Amino acid sequence: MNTKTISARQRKIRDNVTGYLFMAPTVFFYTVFTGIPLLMTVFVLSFSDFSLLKPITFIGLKNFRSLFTDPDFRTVMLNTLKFVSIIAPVHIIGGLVLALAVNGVKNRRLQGVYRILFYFPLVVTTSAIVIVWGYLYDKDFGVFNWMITTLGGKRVNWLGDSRWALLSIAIFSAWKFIGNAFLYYYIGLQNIPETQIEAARIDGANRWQCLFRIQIPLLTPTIFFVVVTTLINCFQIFDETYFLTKGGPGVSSQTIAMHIYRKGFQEYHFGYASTLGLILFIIVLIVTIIMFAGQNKWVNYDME
Amino acid sequence: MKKKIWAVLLGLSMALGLTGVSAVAAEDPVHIRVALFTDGADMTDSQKQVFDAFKEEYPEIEPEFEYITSDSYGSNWNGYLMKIQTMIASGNEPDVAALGLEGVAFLAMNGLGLPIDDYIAAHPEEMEAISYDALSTDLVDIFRVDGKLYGVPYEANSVVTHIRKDIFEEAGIALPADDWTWDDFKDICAQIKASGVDAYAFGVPQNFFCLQALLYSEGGAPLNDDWTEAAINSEACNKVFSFLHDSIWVDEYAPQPSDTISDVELIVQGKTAMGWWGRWVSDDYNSSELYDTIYVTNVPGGAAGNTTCAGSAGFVVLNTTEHPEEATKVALWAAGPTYSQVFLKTGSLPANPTWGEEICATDGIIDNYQIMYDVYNNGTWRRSQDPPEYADLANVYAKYMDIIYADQEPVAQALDEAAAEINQIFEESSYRTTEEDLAVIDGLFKN
Repeated sequence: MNTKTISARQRKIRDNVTGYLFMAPTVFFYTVFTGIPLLMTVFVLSFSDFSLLKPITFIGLKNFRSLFTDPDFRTVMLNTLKFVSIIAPVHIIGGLVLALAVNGVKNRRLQGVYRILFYFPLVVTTSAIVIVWGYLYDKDFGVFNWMITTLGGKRVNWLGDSRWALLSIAIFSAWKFIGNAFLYYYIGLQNIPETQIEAARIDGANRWQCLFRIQIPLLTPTIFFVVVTTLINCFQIFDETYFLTKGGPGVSSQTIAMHIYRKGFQEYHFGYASTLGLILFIIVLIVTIIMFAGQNKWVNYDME
Repeated sequence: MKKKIWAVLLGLSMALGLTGVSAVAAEDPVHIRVALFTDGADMTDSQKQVFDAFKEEYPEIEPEFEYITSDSYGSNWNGYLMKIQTMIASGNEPDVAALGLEGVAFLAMNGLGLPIDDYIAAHPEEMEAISYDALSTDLVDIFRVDGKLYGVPYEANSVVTHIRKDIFEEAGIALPADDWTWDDFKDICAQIKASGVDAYAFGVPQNFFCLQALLYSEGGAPLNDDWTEAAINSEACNKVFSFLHDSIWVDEYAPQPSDTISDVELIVQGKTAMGWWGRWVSDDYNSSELYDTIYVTNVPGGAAGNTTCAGSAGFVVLNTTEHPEEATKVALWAAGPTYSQVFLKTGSLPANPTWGEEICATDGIIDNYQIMYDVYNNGTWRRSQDPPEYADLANVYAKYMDIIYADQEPVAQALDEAAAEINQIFEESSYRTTEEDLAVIDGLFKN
């Protein structure tokens, strides 16, 4: 009995060691490239003056006080919130609608074509495709305005007017990234057992009832995942604004992530940029905690 | 006996080996890393030519060029200098780096550059080889900080008006005289618009260095004369910005600038007839085979005559180099004729007119290049105002140019806000905390 116990314990230790060994590379790289920089940002750089070339100087809460005197901070925070409130619903709801539509296509080959079509923009590098979109959006020489004026309309200043810039970026973002949410939903829908829907149909449920009573409830873990990741990505939005408008006109489409880049990598204020990064981190953390805290009320993990 | 023979052979081979090693060590050239700013063009052939020429003179030194690109927001040199900084911080710094005038004060006040005064004093023959005396003293003084010289300029760019001759011809407009005024310029804009040619009269400057030329010609400047306070909201600056704004939104002489098509691309594609740049855009003209199409003349004259903005770039030795002697030799050699003949065949204006004029005369792109040198000869130029906080200022300038060009705020309000931000930058600057620092800024070359 004693020998058996020791043997089980040894096996457990051996299993654990094997597990830790498998995890070791990831833990190592995570610690070096994410963990340590994160701790440095939170506990050291946010409270320091640092320009890469001089030693780090501790300056207490000065960087936090600078948040109130930074003429662009309020604007970039508002812009970020606007982006989140426009882009997140488009990705979350739009992706779901597309996934349901493609999932409903009976022809498997056609389904494959749609999958490629919706996911393709995601494969293309943002910096490359944005050149094409820049030409589409150009006020004087762009394709969209050529079409609008051909139809008798007035030119729209897509990227050069703060009233249109956010919307233009949102349209591009939807085209470029909606495929991500679409793919998750699509896979989630494919994993829902067909038998449950068939059983409901036999019991007399119509298409909408199947959708709202079976498919969507069973898809809630995927929806939860998509909502969390989309919100985090939207708060960190950078590529679209940087490449399409460079945050302009002025700073009217500049986001917090771009402001961090500008302060850190263009003006060499790494301490202040770290403080901005900390603020972004706290916001994302709070949103994620709220999402996780509320998931019990609507996410259904019971597939039986 | 055999053992003895083996021992002797072993000893001999070791001795030969050591001799060989020391011989190789003696012949092994010193590698000098030289960082260059590039727009991404392939410079393999040019590099080889320069390498060969340099090594012919100095076989003991092996220069290695490292091309560094930059995004163009604010200033082209910003991103480049940031990458140099990152290289320094990571211990992977070059020995020598090309540097535009924007970054000179920043580099020197951060203690990154190595003064070359002692080297110059000790090597007069090298200075003679690069015709140092023919260089404009003012262009050299741009590289002097706190009385110490950090580089010798190899290129200099004066901003002039570039005109597409074919569009002027199509519109039936005569090319302007060199002493033209803003009134002449506006007349020409109206004529181009009325002529019905499929081009805007001009493209508004997207680069603040070029825009400063227009401010200077009207007697304005972004900063006051001693660079301690903003002056961008002065009446003269307001006049220039209002003209540019109205040209887009009222008179329709110019398109609203966009990130998609730059002001240079507009003139290259024939979508605008005029614009303001230095000679560096001849690279774009050349790659688009735009021969015998561009005419250049002074910026239009305003309250301060035809005064324009100009500056220089030079190679600076970083003080972290392990080979200061060799690195300085490379940096100075690059200010000589061979480097300019190879790398500045098209592109920036060679700082030294001794061979610069010959290079420009054979480029086949801008025939009347002489006007660019006349700016220096006549003294009708001012350097761009670049205190050590130039990176912060570049972002402020870019932001408010964008706001004004996009008609997002009234010009006066935008300029007042820009001035307030500039003054805030100076107030919070870590470069202005001691009397010594202020004295260094005060001593920077200004004209």
